[in-house]
Amino acid sequence: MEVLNSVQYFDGLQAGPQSALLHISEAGFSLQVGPIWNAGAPVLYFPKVECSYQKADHQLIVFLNKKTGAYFTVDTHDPTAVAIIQLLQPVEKSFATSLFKLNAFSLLLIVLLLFSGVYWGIATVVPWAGLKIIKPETETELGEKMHEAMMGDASVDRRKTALVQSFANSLELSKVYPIKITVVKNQEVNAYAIPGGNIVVYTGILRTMQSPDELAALLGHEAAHITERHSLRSVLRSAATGLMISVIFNDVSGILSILVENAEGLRSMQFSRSMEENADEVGMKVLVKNKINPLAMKQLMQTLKENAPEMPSVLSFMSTHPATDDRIKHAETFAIPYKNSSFAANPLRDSIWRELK
Amino acid sequence: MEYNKYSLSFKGSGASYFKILLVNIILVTITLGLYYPWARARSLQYFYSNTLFNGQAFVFTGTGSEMFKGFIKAFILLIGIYGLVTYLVLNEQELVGLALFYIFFLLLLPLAIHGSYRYRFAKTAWSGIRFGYTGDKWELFALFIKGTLLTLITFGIYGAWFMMNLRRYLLCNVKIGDARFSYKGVGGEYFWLNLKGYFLSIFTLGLYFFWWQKDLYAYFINNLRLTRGEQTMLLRSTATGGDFLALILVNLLLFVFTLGLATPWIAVRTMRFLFSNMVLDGTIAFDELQQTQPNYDDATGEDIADFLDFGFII
Repeated sequence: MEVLNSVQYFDGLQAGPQSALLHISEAGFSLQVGPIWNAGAPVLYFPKVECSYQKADHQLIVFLNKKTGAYFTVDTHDPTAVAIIQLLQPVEKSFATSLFKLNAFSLLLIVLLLFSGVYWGIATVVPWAGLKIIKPETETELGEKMHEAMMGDASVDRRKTALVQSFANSLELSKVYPIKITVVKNQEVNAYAIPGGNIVVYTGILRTMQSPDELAALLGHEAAHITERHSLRSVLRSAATGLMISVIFNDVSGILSILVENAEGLRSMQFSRSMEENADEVGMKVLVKNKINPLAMKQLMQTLKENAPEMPSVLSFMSTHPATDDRIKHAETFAIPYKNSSFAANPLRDSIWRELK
Repeated sequence: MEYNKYSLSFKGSGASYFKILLVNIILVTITLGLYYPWARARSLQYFYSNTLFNGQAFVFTGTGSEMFKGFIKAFILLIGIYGLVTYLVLNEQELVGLALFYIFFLLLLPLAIHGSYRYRFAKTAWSGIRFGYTGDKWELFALFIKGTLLTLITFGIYGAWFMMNLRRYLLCNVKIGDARFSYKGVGGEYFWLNLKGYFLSIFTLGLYFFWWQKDLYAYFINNLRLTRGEQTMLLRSTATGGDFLALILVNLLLFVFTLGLATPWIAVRTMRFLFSNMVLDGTIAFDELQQTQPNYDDATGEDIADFLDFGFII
């Protein structure tokens, strides 16, 4: 006999370990219960194909037969344990084993990297796919429903609505979306765009503005939110994040998801700031196309900055109000190339403007 | 018959469990969730192998591949149900969809619990002796339907009786080898315990909550026993309301101040707490336990119960 190893044997018949001697061969395990190997006594033989092992915290458990439930254990630090693993699974194939060799800190780092990767991936892919899938017509339909709901208890100024609508019609605001204006009687200095084509303007902001060009700038900016599908993008992004939260943190209690939601709030703030700048730019292009000095955008911002101490709604014109100065600078830079262009007054818009005032 | 004191202890550590959780999360993420059954097997194996009764560790003999098969079946079943309900709701059949949804789950739940108990106990071994669940699927089903309907009719009051009937049925059918567990908690006592706990918690601005938890734990432990022929083992809880207060508050603080990273430590210290506040004594000679319970490999019920987040709580 070659090397014998002492193991704890559980025969699957009666409780309790029996000390046994183990002999490992190419084909399997031979076991004999008792402190010394007795050549005459019966030997239990277990072919290795029926055996499997489990590496527990302190011991290696070797299952010998699924039906009887017999198993033996050895200390994980025992060289026998290594020999058994070698026999049952010659190639250490599991990726998990190599992960366990890393320390907790590196593992935590990997988890964080993976999560941010997944987060970034989903937050990018879902809005992208959503924008592809949702057609402008569907968007208009949905936007119409949103508009109806939002206008439920608002008092609409029909006369001014018609005036601003014809003002908007004189500008080429969108080729894809039907731009529909609603003027609401409200003293707040506010205006916002609903996906699909609706723009809501408060009488408060109409009163504040100083010139028809500023109104053109306002409409250009809001229409840009619609044509660039900004709100749809925000909605899709938060839907994607919501989906992710429910998948990942399903079982880790509410506190974590609240944290993530707040983080998402900060993120969408940032997102909407870049959207605002984009909308300013697109709006200014509309101005240029209509032979209006793009600096009207800057004037509008300054007028609003002076007259609007508080910004209530997220969708409001100056929602990211600390950044207003940056946006003014941005508008100035945009206008530089058009310094020497000629801009013409538009009699129609001027007359509408006079009626509005 | 000899009188013995038995010991139950947990020797896992937060750090090692943390590592297991991290490895599991990494593997589950990069396999888009497919690794989940193996991850679960690893966590269960960890908890079992670190739980010692009379110095001998428990063994979870279930494997990831068994649970994977159940996982796929459970997944297809649940996707099918959700798909059907979504289809009905989208086609303006909200009420039919919703009704179908509740009926499905009412029917599915007892079967899932049955499957879960069968699998989990068949895969639990101590000292080479398997546990087993001998309950009957349809008896549990009937108990469940009756309990749900009566609970609905009585606006939740029957819930206490339902809960105890369920717990009694399940636990009285759990065996380890040739020894059988039994539970003698009843609905009436459980109802008053909760009623008292609820109102005293309100009157004491929540402080009594911890004593209520103590009572619930004691009601579980003290009514449980194991018998083997003439021999019995009794369990007794020694935890006080103050102990529970300390446990829960520290857990909460740990969770909040580590932004949840302490979760594995919380799990480990809770296990330690529960086991160390329990006295086990009696006349069972555990080294005489005989293997009587068969093996059982179908993990579908276990996986459905897990999907529904039903846990293993009785």
